[in-house]
Amino acid sequence: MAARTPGPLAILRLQHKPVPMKGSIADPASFAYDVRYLAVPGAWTENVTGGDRAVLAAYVESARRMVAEGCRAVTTTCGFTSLFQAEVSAAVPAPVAMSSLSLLPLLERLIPPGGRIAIVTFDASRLTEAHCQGAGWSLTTSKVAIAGIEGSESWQEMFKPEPGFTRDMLARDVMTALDGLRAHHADIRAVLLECAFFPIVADDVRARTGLPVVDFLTVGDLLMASTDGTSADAKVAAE
Amino acid sequence: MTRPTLGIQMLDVGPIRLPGSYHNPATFPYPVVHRHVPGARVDVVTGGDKEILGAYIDSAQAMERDGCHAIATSCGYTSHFQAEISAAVKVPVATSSLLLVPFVERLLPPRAKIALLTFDATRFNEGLANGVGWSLKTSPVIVAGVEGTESWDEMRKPQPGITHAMLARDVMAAARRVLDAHANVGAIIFECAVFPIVTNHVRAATGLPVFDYVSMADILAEAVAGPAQAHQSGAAE
Repeated sequence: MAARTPGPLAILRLQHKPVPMKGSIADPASFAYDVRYLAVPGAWTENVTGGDRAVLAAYVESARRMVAEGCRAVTTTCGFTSLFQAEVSAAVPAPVAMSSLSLLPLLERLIPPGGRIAIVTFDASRLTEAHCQGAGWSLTTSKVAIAGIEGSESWQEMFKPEPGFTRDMLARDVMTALDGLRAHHADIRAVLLECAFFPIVADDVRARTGLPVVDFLTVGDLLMASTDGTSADAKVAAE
Repeated sequence: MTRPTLGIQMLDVGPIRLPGSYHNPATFPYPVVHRHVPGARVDVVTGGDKEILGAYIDSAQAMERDGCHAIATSCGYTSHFQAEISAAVKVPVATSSLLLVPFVERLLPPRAKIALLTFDATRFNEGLANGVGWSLKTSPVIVAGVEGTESWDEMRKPQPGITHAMLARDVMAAARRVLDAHANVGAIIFECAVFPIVTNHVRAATGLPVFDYVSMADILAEAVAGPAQAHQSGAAE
């Protein structure tokens, strides 16, 4: 059987200048498959994390365009777009995962019962129950602890049109948020990184904590595994 | 980070070495270790026999001691042991690709259905879904199995003799039954850990996204070691 030519993963990004560091969602080398980026008109860190529903139509339109142009699956570069999960997935005939928050129901089953999941986010003061419900779960029933990097140097940089954070700066700010959670909760068994910049430092988090970590790269990989073929399929297809 | 080693708890049956099979180390881009669970015959595990739980726990603990970074099983019907096995070890555990249902449900348009293709639909029940955090009553899942087919007969033997063509025919027949009865199927999930042998075939024949056991295992490996280590090619044993 001939392998189909795989279409790329659509990544609907914010308007900010991409930060193509190693491990970044903005770096095509972070993925084992083709990706295509589209900057969503009007989508900036400030308004999207602020819950601005005026950008919903632009996300729907961008998803439609990318799927029409051959993309196999759709994701974004901001976990706060989980608010739009139902509307965007309803608009296209391809799987859509707007946010790494969508991994929570899966992740909470992989750890020992009673274990807690630490969620590190761009800004905990902006993350609400509605964001969680958009991703298919609730703060009232899932055992999570949430901390953000709000007020940090990285956080300030991420609001700028050309974010100027460094890898070390981001690692420091993410680990500070996570260390705070771990100091208060002895039962943390896994980490979920909401922000699409955080995969840059996910391996630091794994090394420092020894905990399993999922993030936006996990989302892309799981989406594409369903459409694009795993390593197993590549071997079967090559027969 | 070091490379992740995935421990696979296996049914007590002979190997299926076709490409895509979990018995075939080349199926995974990271190292895997296989371990037979004593007494875990297909009929015992898919029949819902809880007596076998102790053997799964012992085996998971042994694999953890041996250095496995994450643990999976080779039969989706162990999903009703998810809580007990994961409670017995510190490393993350994925008993079943059924774990993917709540995630996949959100990816699809609000009224879309998921075709859940399983080894034996007559043995599939609410307890298997509840074990991994969802319910047949509220999730839009249509279950169909390969029961009664040649593949099903073979998988119940101590030395399964299935072929790619046989399995492709039997899994596609189950898929067709769901697709003929429901117009709005948005994705397929394979429960059975043998089905990844034909994932690519079913994906091409239906045009639908297909999630399977290997998708689940890959995510587990990535969570513990990161995508760069999990997908590094060439070093798998």
